[in-house]
Amino acid sequence: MKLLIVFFFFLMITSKILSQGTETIEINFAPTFLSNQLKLNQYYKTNQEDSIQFTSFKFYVSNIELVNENKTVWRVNQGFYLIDLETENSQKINCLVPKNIQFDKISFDLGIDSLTNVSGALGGALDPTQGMYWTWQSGYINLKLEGNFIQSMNAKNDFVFHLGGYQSPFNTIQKISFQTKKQSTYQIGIELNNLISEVDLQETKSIMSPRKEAIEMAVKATKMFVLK
Amino acid sequence: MRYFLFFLLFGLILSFFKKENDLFYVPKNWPKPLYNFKNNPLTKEKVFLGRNLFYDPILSRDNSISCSSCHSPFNAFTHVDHNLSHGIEDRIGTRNSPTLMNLAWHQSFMWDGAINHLDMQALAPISHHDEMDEKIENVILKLNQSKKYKTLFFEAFGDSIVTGEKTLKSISQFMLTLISAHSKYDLVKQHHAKFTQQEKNGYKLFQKHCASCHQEPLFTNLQFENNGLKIDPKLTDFGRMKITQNPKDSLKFKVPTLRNIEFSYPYMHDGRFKKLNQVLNHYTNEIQPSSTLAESLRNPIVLTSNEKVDIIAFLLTLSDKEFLFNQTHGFPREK
Repeated sequence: MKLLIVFFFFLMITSKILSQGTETIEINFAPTFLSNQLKLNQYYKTNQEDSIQFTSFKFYVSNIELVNENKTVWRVNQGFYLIDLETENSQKINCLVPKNIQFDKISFDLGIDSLTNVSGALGGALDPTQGMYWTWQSGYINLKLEGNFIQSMNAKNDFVFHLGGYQSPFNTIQKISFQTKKQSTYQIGIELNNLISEVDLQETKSIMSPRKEAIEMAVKATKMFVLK
Repeated sequence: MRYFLFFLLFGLILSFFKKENDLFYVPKNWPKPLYNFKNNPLTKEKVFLGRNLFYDPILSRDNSISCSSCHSPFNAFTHVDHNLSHGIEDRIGTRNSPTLMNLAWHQSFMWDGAINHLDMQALAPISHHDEMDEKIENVILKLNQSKKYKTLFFEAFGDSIVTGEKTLKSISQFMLTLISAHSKYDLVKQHHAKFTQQEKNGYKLFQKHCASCHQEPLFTNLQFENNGLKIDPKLTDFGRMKITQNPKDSLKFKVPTLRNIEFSYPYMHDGRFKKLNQVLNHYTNEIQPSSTLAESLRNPIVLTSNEKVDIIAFLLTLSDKEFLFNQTHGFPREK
């Protein structure tokens, strides 16, 4: 009984320390196309005067880390976030971090790590009903971008990019990091033109399985992310 | 008082173990299962929910076929009489449905290992155009609208809201209980039965010629091998290579278990052989040489017709009637 009381107090004290010693860091993702706020199912003019429309844009952010002098000082555990343009508020992530923590870099993964990929059925953002899990071959889709574009002379062309794959040599997960001062809120812009302008949409209309082209596009996709 | 508490605790632990044993057990001298039960501990209610889902056509787009349509309990959970399994609207797939048993020991699933975890396996046939042709999102909608499933999910999870995770884990739970380890072969190994002279001879030949891929006690090494089949020009199925995109995996398929093989005809990934003697004739006379051919098939296997009969006699000792006719694996009529 005595032990129980001691344990109870211990629990109270630690929880108090924990609740006192944390602060929230907010990360906001703001997708744009040529600096215009991105909305689904709306046409935008590209630099080549073509029209482009996005019908779906979603991706996973995981493994958010705070780094100080090249040392990881905090990692958001079990933090898997599905950023989906169709879901309101999904572009905002709140991270609980220890108060007064010092860091000079924020990093996160674009996608889902290989261990999680082989861990069976998971819930929440990782539930296979989120439309981000391949059914014919196991594995999460790290980033989904679908839409269509119209070149002046041509008919409408659809494009479908489902970037995923966790097994070597087709591991598509990408690390994105920003040198930064400590702030309570971060705005991360996602300029889709940085990816689209690097892809010949006449040539490459669909990528929907783990392969070399998926990795190449995932690398290009990291260039969309810009800290504001 | 202290003794009383001690006994109470002991009893609790004992009852816990007993409960586990009823649903899942590791047969004597078997390796450790690979399935991580910590992430999905078996309970009677979840297994029962999974069993209901397994036998329910609600998983298919037009409520016409269930898992059991292609995985019948009386055939070691495969589909007999069809070389290629057929699904919704009589659409025909490209492969022969595999048996379902002892799945806790498997690392990957499907003939090409496309699926990396038992929990994710059901997603494939649910979504496949030629199988159930349904979306998991829609299955969840249907289940959430069903009074029966709301109750079953509540009993299993203490929460009636159906999710993809819960649904898949429950189907896994049922599949994990499908353990076949009571064949004559198993009884012989435990000294409760004896092989006939013919079976004994067949067993020796089996160990010499077949056991490198069909390893005991699971009767599969769980690897991918090219067993020298001629390529079907219509199906042009290169197996594992489609998944890894590595030419070294060309024509490799997952080595199937031979347990209950008497009841799981036809044989091979495309069900091309109806009879076991056709299978043996393939291994002795029809092996197609190729750079990815299994090491153990590179030297010709020579067997007399009597020896083939003996091997088949041994293979029939792998039939497990207790498993095939186990009521608790069957259609869930009552609780």
